[in-house]
Amino acid sequence: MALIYTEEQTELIEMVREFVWKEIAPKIPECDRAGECPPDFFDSAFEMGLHMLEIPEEFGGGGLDFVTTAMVFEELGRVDGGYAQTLVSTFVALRNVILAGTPEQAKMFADLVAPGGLGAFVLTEANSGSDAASLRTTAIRDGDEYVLNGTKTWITNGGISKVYAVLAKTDPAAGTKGISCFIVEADRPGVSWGTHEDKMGLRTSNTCDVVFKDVRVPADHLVGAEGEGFSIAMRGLNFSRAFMATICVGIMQRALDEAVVYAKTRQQFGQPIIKFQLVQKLLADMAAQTEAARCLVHNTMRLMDAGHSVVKEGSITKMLVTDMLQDVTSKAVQVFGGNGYVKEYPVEKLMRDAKIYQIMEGTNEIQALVIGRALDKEYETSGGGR
Amino acid sequence: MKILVLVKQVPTDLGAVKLNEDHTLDRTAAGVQLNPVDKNALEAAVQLTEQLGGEVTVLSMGPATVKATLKECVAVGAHRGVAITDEAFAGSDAWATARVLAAAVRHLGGFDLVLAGKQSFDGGTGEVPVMVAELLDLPQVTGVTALEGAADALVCTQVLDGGQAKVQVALPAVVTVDEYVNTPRYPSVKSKLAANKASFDQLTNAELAVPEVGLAASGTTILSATRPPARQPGARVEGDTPAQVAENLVAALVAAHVL
Ligand SMILES: Cc1cc2nc3c(=O)[nH]c(=O)nc-3n(C[C@H](O)[C@H](O)[C@H](O)COP(=O)(O)OP(=O)(O)OC[C@H]3O[C@@H](n4cnc5c(N)ncnc54)[C@H](O)[C@@H]3O)c2cc1C
Ligand SMILES: Cc1cc2nc3c(=O)[nH]c(=O)nc-3n(C[C@H](O)[C@H](O)[C@H](O)COP(=O)(O)OP(=O)(O)OC[C@H]3O[C@@H](n4cnc5c(N)ncnc54)[C@H](O)[C@@H]3O)c2cc1C
Repeated sequence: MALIYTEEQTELIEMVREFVWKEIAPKIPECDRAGECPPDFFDSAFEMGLHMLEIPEEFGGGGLDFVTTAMVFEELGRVDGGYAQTLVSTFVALRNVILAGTPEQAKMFADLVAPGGLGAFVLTEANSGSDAASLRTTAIRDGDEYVLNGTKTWITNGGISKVYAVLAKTDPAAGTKGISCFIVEADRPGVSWGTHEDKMGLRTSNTCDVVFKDVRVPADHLVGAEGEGFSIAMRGLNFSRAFMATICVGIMQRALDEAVVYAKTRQQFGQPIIKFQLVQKLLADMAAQTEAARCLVHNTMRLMDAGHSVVKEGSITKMLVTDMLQDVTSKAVQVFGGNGYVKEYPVEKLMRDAKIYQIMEGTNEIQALVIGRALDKEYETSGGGR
Repeated sequence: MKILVLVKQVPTDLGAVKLNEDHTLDRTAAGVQLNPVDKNALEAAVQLTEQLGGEVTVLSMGPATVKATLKECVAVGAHRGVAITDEAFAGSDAWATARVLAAAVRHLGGFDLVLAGKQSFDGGTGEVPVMVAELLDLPQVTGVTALEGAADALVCTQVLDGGQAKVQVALPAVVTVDEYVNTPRYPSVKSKLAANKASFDQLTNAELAVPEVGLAASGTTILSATRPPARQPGARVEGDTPAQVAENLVAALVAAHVL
């Protein structure tokens, strides 16, 4: 184990582990096949407060630091990436409002999810993915209200949320400076959603279009000032990337666990395949990558707990960990041989689930751009430290 | 409603419990947990106070480690925990345990209801709560599968051979539950963290003054104790074709006088 856990962290992890393996894990294969979860699937997570672990207690959350929250989410990721992602996307959306909005706005959002509800962060559109600033959804001021129009796509929790943090243009003529952030309750007239996407992996996580047609929200639903939306979204993404990476560490650990157990039982040439040094090399690489990923996530969480904005570190963590995740899950399939390629065994799902993490929350190419830009700026002022 | 729940700390892994020469048990290697059905007793208590108001106290006799069990109880809704810990109580049998627990119930005082599990995961006699009820001269209903509460009486469902009985019992009373009575809740993260800060009252025989305790007060003497025989591995029936496997299986069943 790469990390040092306090007694409190150990107990919390054990409690969540017992719950998630007993109550959630047995239901995952069927949800993965169906591509959706039963409506009450997250009720027990709500009761335990898993969707608000790192949210301050004043807003009904668990008040945990980021380091401990990440440890718990690694455990959830080990059982199912989609299950963990659903909860992470909820507190990430709320965290955006806490970071940028007033305490009243944070409370408005938190009160909808605290008693048992999901939230979503709503940025991407069909023609505005990596180029997020080109989004076309509009929010036009009309007296004491804003009127939203537009179609968002690929929204995690889009069809099952109680409330959204939505990015829209208050000044359609302006670029990044025209974008603003709004709280929009899902039950407002004019809000609708498309069908749940039939995805390759992460099939227990709901993904769909969210459509806003003449949706009216009171002016107090504007988070921050007009025109601040883009920087709010970027700050939120810095924060959420490391959390996605912690889910990935969980998936890597699961891949390793499954592969080692299998290699110890599967016999070929008269002995367990773990006795072959080439199989050991596969497992050793998987273990090394998993442990390195865990340490990287942990350090980024520590930086976040200390108040750093982790622009560069969040992107480094997301890029490196999600790349290693591909390798580790693919190697798990390799260790299983033919059995690794069929749904009867657990590792093909891990490989399917892994791919999305190189794409969502900014593709890894975009992460490289962010890191490159940060380096450019850093060395401009520091001159390389000589 | 003031409710007391009797909770026992038991080993997690009975296989790791060692038999001592004197037929007592060495549980040190086994890990500890809250006796599973006691979770149901606690859940029933918490649900009753959620409906009717009141307070839930958990009481456990055992070594110093029972505090961990009490903490677990506070995380799922107990308001208060009391540990009965005293070297003098070591080696107690069901009767000696019941005498101490009854003395503690009297000492703490004022309970409308004492709830307990139907039986423990380790000793498993199911006698302790029955004896506690007799010692306190209280009515008792055992092995309850459903509970409906009112301020001064409970309606308890018991499963009988070929049917069910509904029993109304006036309070105060002792009631033991089985695992079908409810589904215990999981602690929330907040309640779990809050439980870390909880402190517990401790009672020893200095407060309880039970005249005869521990091994000396235990009427039962264990003459011998042995482990159940280890389970034999199953036999694998093989064959080149499904038909052959079936034939071999039938032959094996005939040989074992099953068919
Ligand atoms: C399952 C899932 C869940 C999602 N959840 C959410 C959500 O909750 N909220 C939300 O707002 N969005 C969400 N998204 C959207 C996601 O963030 C976008 O898909 C992602 O940012 C990429 O955008 P795109 O799909 O339009 O790809 P494109 O931007 O079209 O990219 C296509 C390819 O071009 C590359 N590329 C693009 N621009 C550059 C460049 N400048 N330099 C180099 N390469 C470049 C990309 O790296 C990629 O390889 C989700 C997506 C998926 C699939
Ligand atoms: C090998 C061996 C054999 C034994 N055989 C016998 C025997 O035949 N007869 C005998 O009398 N004793 C026997 N004992 C001792 C027995 O383990 C203890 O007497 C035990 O306290 C009896 O309770 P139980 O576990 O059977 O509890 P049960 O009566 O099965 O427990 C029912 C409920 O009572 C409550 N309760 C029980 N114990 C406590 C406690 N300490 N604190 C709080 N609540 C409690 C819980 O709610 C529990 O669910 C034996 C011990 C050993 C080592």
